Amino acid sequence: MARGMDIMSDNAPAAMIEDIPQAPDICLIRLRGDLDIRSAAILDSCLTESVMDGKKFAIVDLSAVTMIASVALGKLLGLKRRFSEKGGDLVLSGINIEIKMKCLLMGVDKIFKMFSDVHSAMNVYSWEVMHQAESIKLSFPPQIGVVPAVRRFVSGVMAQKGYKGRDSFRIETIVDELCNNAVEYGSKNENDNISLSMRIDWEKIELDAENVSDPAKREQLQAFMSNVSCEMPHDGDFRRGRGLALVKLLSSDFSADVTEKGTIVHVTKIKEE
Amino acid sequence: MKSEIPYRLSVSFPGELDYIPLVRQLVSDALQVLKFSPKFSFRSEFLVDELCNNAVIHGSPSNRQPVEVLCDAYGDRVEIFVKGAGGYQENIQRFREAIAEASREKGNDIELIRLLSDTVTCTIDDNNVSHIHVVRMREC
Repeated sequence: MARGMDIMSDNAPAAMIEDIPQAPDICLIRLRGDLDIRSAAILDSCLTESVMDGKKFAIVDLSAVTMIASVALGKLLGLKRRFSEKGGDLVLSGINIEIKMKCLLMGVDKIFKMFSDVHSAMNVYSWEVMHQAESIKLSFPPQIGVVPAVRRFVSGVMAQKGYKGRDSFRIETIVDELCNNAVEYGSKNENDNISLSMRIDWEKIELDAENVSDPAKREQLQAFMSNVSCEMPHDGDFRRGRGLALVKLLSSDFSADVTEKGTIVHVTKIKEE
Repeated sequence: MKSEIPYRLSVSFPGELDYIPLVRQLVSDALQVLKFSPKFSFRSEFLVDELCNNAVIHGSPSNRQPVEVLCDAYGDRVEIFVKGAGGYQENIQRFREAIAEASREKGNDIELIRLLSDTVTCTIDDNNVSHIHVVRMREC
């Protein structure tokens, strides 16, 4: 539903408040034209309606705004405070570069979260407020040289999603070990790709590594999988099986299935920090 | 590396701009592992960046629709496929026209894609999913 309001004298509405069906908590406020001292007072009364409407979050789209007077910023600040009191927030999106530079000089970025577009703001809302999980799937050739690239990619994803320090390093290590094992014990056929699925949650990450097994190494791998414990192996060939022990040690949950078709390893790592 | 059977790298990620630099870096790193030159890899990652940005900004109107990048590395070329859910026919048509017209007015990103690739194909299927296919030949 969209509700338009005339703030300025021209025919087109200078403020449009929209509901977002997939996010009932959010209202999208699209503003346009000059937000000067004349329009600021009317802006305040119009926008208060959205707060009274039971919404907790607001995205103010400023992509069509050509000028913002400090008094209008003050009104937006007051509105943000009202949303904050309800446990929500008001964020800004789509500010053009000229206005953004002025806003940065005034320190507006220290008060408001600013996003390049409404889409980005919605994404952050989905992750930070709705805590919606995200899925990433990777498939890569069984080449040992690709593993560091995959590890770097996972590291970047972890940083994006707020997994930092120890958590991030542990997840990277798990991915590294799983992928190295998949290359070492998997089929060497260049078409038998290794698949890595990640389901990233606010609280945990679930990993599934899948590959086609090398028939010659399947039994050896099955033996490792059945004996894997959190203890580092001491007897026999002590270099073998350390990776899996490390993965199990670093994981919150670990399971593996080695069949004729392939190997599937499932790991859950709960966020600790 | 055989010419017929490609090394295939694929990534599927939520339609968020924040993921694109990571995907771009991954493709570049993988291409270098597969013996493509740093220059070729760098230019290919540019393509991936532009195509993914287009897919996220223009292709997925609803939130978090996945974007799929598929990179096939042959001995003599790289083929990049970018699939974005929910692309609109008019956006695809605009993109197709921009590629054909070679007009700078259509935006620098389109010009860049055209410049860095040998062929560009755009299609949209019955489910409104857009498919962009780019071929970039290895430089001698």
